[in-house]
Amino acid sequence: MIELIGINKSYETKNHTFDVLKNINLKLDERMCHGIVGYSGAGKSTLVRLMNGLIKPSSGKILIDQVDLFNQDKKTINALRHQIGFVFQSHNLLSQLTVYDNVLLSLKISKYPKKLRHSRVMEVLDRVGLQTKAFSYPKTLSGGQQQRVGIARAIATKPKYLLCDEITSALDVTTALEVVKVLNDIQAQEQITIVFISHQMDIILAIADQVIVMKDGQIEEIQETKRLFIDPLSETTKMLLKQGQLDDFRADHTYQLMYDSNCVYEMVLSTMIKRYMVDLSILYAQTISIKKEIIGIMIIKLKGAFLADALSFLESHQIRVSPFNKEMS
Amino acid sequence: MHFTSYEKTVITEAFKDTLMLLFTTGGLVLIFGLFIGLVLYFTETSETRKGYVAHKTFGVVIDIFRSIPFIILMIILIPFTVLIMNTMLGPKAAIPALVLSAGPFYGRIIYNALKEIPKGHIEAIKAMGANRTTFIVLLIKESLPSLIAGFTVTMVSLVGFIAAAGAVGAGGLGDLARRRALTMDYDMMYVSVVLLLVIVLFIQIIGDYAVKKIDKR
Repeated sequence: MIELIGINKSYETKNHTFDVLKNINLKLDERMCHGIVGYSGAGKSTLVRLMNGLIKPSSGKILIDQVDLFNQDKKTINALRHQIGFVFQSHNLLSQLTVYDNVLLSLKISKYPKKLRHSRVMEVLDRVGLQTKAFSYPKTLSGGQQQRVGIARAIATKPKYLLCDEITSALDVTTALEVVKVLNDIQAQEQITIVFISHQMDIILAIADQVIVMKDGQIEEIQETKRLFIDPLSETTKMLLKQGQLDDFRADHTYQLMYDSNCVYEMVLSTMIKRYMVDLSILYAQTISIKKEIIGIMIIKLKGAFLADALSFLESHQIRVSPFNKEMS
Repeated sequence: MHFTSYEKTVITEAFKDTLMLLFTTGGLVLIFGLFIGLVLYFTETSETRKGYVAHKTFGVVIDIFRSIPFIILMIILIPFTVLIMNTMLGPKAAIPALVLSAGPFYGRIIYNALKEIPKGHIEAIKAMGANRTTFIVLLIKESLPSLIAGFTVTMVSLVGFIAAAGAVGAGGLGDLARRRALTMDYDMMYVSVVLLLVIVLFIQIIGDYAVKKIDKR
């Protein structure tokens, strides 16, 4: 488990002190994917760099499996780092080494058994779909391919933890989702604990089991991913979910519907309209993929003589209905 | 243009002296420069007050050696040269001054090359848990094209220094060219200069080729 206790981090210039992290207390359970999301300047990257000892906190403790990371000699910190893979936003592959050598390097550094190194390199390259590029140099690869090599390098040593810092930010949506799929598969196969940093909420929702929302160096909200999407608590979360303006829709005869994979393929709404002769207007709708589950939120205006029956019909199809009027805000 | 067998021997000997000096000092400059470059780099990146002071002090000392004109440095170093080389004449006597002049020059080049390595690459190496030795090896590998390009420039400068050293008794092609020019033996002087030019061109071509071959950035 990674545990952060009372973490503060400040940077000092001649005239100012910038508090990047303020009293962060966090426990990251094993074998889960923890998404850390927030706008630029929230302190996400600083937080993840602290977890690997790349930077030191101004105060507070970081425990990696009960070991105080910053109370160790260099040798122990390096040994701990072999247990913590790190994937960077800008790949950071060594340009003078081939893809193969980049991955091999992490095995050499962690003193992975010599006889098993070659097979492990090929295995992880296969896992990220790049075995054929093993002897290419990084500059000949696309951004997505370089990022996958970065992942292969980070997981080669079979680390317990994998820290991913904005690794999809520079990629287009399709490539980013490919990278997320690679990570989801790796997590399923290797039972690794992932800490995934991003400012892209849709990517976080697609990968994380638990989401930590940060703002101005502080944690605003921690929720299980599905819960966060359905019922965001903080304004930052609502903004990141692009649900910030939803309150403008609050009015009489307005309802919020929540649905999941069980009913997205059924013609529930059209059946309801025909059967109960109601008028329906869709004010807002968003369907997203959380891990392998599809989940949606919809705000509708509904009027008609058999309104109560129509709402019961929706609920009987596992759609959660709640009034979205002004009193409920 | 016709040369007697004696003249041919003189030219060959001078050419050999120049090459001997070039390779000996080149090797020493490589080691000394690497040491200086790494010290400058690590004292700067240590992020401690002690490191900062060490970096600034070392930098000033290095720049003093870089700024003293080579001929003056050779003269200043005569007692030191006599002490370690047992002579103040001949090719061997030029070695300390050549190394102390070109070493800091190459050291600065190495320091700049190391500083050019993207910060992210440094972080990646640290994040993998590399120890200091592996870290240094990887830094050198990552900046190898710049180090080779810098070494090429240093070697070309060394040819100039060696030719100048000839003027104060170090022998070699520079010395030959100077002596023959004074006796108006322009043929010998031209041959010496052309040979120096050939050495410079050869170094540059080899250096450029190696950089092109090695650079994967």
